[in-house]
Amino acid sequence: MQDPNLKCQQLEDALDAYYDLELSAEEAEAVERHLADCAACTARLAEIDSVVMQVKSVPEVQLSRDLSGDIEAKILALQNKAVEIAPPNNVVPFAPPSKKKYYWLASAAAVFALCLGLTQLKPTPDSATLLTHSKVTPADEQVTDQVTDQVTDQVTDQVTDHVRDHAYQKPVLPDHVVATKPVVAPALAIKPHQIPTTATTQMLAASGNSGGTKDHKQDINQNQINDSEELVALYDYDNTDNASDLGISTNEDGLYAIKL
Amino acid sequence: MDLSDEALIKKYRADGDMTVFTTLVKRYQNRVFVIAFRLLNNSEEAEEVVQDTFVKVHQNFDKFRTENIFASWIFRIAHNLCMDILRQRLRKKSTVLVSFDPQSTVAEEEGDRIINQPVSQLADEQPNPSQSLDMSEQTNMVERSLNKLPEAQKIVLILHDLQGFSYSEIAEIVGANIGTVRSRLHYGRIKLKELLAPYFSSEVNLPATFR
Repeated sequence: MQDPNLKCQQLEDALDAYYDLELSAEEAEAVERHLADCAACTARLAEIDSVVMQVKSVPEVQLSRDLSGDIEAKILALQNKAVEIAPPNNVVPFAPPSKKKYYWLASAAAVFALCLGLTQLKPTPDSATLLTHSKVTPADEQVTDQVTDQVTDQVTDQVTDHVRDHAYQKPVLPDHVVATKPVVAPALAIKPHQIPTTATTQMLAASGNSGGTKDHKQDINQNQINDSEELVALYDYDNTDNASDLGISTNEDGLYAIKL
Repeated sequence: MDLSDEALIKKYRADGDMTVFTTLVKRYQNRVFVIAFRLLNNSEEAEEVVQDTFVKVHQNFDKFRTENIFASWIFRIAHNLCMDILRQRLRKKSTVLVSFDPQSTVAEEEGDRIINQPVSQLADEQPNPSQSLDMSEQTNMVERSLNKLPEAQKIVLILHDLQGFSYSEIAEIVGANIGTVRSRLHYGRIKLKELLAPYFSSEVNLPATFR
């Protein structure tokens, strides 16, 4: 046997739906079977009827006037406004011709160029014939080698000169000087005209002649730091703030610091 | 013989005759007004809702699909407009500051309050016992009680018990599923019964505050 209370709980909103004729025939029959044996749910059904009747007793309200004229006027006003905003058909907008219409031409040209490039990569029958039928004689090889060597030497000399003239010259430390940590940023970051070679190298060269005591090492390191400050100032000459990448930072007063 | 909604819609779409559209307006304007008035409790705002509803209906006429019920579509638009107004009211209500000064001579005027001037009386949302004793009209009490229901329950009760819409039509209008509509109707009626109990109790004919 089913618990009658549980059944009543199950009927919670089904009673309202039953009253409103919103249940299916099967559901309505099940509710009616329950109502036949349940006084509480029958009383609830009467309460629902009472509340609905009270709601229906609320006096009807009516529109005080016909609004259809106002509505029509509003709609027409909006339509006229829309017509005013929309440009007339005979007015051509003053604007440069759109480049969009040439896009298809550009893309077609690109595709054509791509196809042309691909066909050039593939050996054509003519080029294949040329390769297979041409024979290189030893005399040809000799001439080719001479030309190649000449060109190579010339290019090598030019490159060497260029590197000598423009590359950063790393200061040469005396043998007794041991640099613990690099204080100078990578040479690539330095502009050629800002290379501080003279001060550093001269100082280091001078210090290198005076022997290798402990105090002397400290002096040199201190001098390196002083020089590196000078270098740093040169680094950030353009205020590019790239110095942070090199382990260099500035404080609020614009003073530079190097992370050692 | 009156043409059905479907026939009028078809005719208006074919001819664009404004008189056909006006026929639809005349058919539904009062029902839209009743719902808007019940939700907003303000006839001017309700009239505005009626006008705006049909302007929107006209603007979106092409979007209406004939397989749907035209009335449900109209009332959904009206319902949304009402909800917008209620939300605006809520925002205004939460931002308006009223300074209270018992000595002030400025009387509080409902709906026409002079903002930032101290008022001598603060409105009490609860029914005044003396007032409730004076209320002899049953309908007045029901109306007041209806207005105390949560909006979601109130609109379902109005649409079903006052306007006679089915559960599925209400679901379409308020944008909820049928189960939600059924539940809101159930709890709305329970709440209304509790609110009306003080006035319609067979034991003592006094409000609950006196018991």
